[in-house]
Amino acid sequence: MIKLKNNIKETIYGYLMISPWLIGFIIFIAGSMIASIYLSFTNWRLIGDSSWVGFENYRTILSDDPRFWKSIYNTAYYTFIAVPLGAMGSLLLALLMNQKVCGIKIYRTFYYLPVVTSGVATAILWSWIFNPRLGLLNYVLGLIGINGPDWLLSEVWSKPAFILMSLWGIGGSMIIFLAGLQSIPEVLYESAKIDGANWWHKFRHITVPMLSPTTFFVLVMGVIGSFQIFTSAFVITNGGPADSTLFYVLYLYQNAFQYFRMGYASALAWILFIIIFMFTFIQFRFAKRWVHYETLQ
Amino acid sequence: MKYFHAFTVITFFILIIVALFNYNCNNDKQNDKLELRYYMWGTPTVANLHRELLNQFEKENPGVSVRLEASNWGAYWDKLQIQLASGAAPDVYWMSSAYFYNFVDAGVFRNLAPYIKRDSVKLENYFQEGYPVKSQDEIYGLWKDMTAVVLFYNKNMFDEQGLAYPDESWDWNDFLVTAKKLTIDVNGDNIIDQWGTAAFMPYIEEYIGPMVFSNGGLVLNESKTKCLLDQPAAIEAIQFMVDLLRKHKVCVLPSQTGSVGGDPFMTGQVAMIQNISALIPEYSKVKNFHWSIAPIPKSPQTNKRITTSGCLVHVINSETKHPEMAWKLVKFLSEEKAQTVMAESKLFVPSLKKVAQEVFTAPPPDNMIEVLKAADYAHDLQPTANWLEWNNAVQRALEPAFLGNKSVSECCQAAVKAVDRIINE
Repeated sequence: MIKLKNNIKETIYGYLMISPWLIGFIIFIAGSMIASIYLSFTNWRLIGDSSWVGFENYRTILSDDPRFWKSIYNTAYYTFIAVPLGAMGSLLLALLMNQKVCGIKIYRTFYYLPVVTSGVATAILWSWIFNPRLGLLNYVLGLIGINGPDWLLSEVWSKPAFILMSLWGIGGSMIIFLAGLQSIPEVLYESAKIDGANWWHKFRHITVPMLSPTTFFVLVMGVIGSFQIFTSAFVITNGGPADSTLFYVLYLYQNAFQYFRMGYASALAWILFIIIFMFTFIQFRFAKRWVHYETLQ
Repeated sequence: MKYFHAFTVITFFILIIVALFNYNCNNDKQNDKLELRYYMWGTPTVANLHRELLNQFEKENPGVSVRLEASNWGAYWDKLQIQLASGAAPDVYWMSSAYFYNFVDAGVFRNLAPYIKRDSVKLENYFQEGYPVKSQDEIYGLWKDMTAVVLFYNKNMFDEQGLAYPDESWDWNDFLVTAKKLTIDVNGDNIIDQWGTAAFMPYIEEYIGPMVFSNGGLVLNESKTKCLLDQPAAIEAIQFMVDLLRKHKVCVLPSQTGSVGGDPFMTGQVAMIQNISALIPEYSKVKNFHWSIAPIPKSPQTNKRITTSGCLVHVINSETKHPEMAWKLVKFLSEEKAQTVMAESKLFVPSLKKVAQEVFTAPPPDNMIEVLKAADYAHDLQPTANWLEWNNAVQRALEPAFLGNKSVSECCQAAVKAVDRIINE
């Protein structure tokens, strides 16, 4: 009896503790999400009357909106190059940062620093780096004899420019990989060494499998984050030139806040939700084949 | 004991909340002053100027206080939308003639026609272009200031090359010939670092509109049901602009100059730029060269020049609790006294013609009169409910031509397709 009472008490305390977050979520996020499902079936324009249009928004998006497909293409292009590249880059960086070198903590701080800078500041900085005449990137390319393109003014090079820019933030996944690396028990490497394994064997057969849950996490979060790329495109190109950097969320934003099609934008938001959900689901499905959760007991 | 603690904490919070509510109530009771909310966009300098005007209004109307709220251009529209949607919109706010039709049919503006008639406001004393009048009995805004697209030029660069300044006689060919002479490598490193002109991406207001109109074309037909950019007059005008950039290379895109985020005219890299008069305060900050204003060049085909012009109006929230006072404020801001303050600041071209001619045109800078003259040969921006959306669509469609990836006629056809879709929705 007393035990039960304690349980209830603990539950109550638990909910009380998380209540600030919970209330915030219910009022500001869950409420809006549910409202946006409803709105996605209307032609609401924020002001004035709106009416129920059924699946009309969804139908238009999928069958009669070339810019939607353009934005899907741009976003997919960006995601499927930037995420693997970013994961590889951050793993490489984490391996380097995992060395026992004097002052390694300073290096770790340096590499993590870009992550804490504001997105807008980063975007402006990069628009300078990409400047075709005076930018750092074309200057460096010029030193090795390459005549750099007009990065952000070219339909071909604008997306690669954004991918390059995304590598600026790999410090975030680096920290996660670093934590993963440090949780791999040293004994595994020691016994492999005794068995005569070289660095590649150790990396391939110990680091990679032991790190797979971390890699999985980085990839899932990376895909979710990349599908939502917005700030840099909004600040630097606003989708141009000729829609070559029109990413999905930017298109959604334009519809909602520039063209005042709230209903349409809500439908776009739910389609994005489904897309991200699908990709995450597929990743989880495939995860069983390559993610190992064994730990040393 | 633990329960007691929880009880105390909860009671404490409730007390705080009650106290806060009470405080508010008391405040309301004490405050029987009539308060208006005034919403605008712009820099702190612009906001301060309006604060002064509002202080003047408060002095003339004891018992009234006006709260000024300001944000930047982009945030202005986001915030306004949300305030309108939630019924918390300001009493008086700024409206650009380009956005007007987006809002008017939703019934968020108060009809000012009865007030205008009652107080016999003389509408003909103001610059007309772009004034959002739905009909004689439906007028939803009162003037604040006007803008027109003109040609700014760097006098020093003309003097250095011994060239005559642009004037009324200029057509596109004169413009091109001079632009060629002004596109030079100043420091001798075999890289061009001064250009005849600059163009931001194909914006309708500054470039496409004036060029196409001057050449006898239109962006939309008169009834605004069809885009006419695929007509020969329009294609020819756009081809001329593309040629300036790609064939003659006398034009530069601002982002190619290395004046990062800035205007290459201001950094002294460009001799001439066709731009809106709203940039005068910005250009007035230039210290290391002299500049002046000329009319835009004529089209050699039609021997005509037609520029674009728009205006900014004050609108009154249809749900305001104080319509009479709001009208009084709007009227005050359109009258000579307030317009003179605006003109003296040189931050705006006042809409009241008399003030614009007498006060605004006083130098420096010189030739300001050209902005006012431009109103005589201006076309409006062909506003529709989806103005911004189809403007962006035109820009997107034409960009490949300016980047040299597609032909002008191909891009114009794409523009027509995209625009027709939007305006006929």
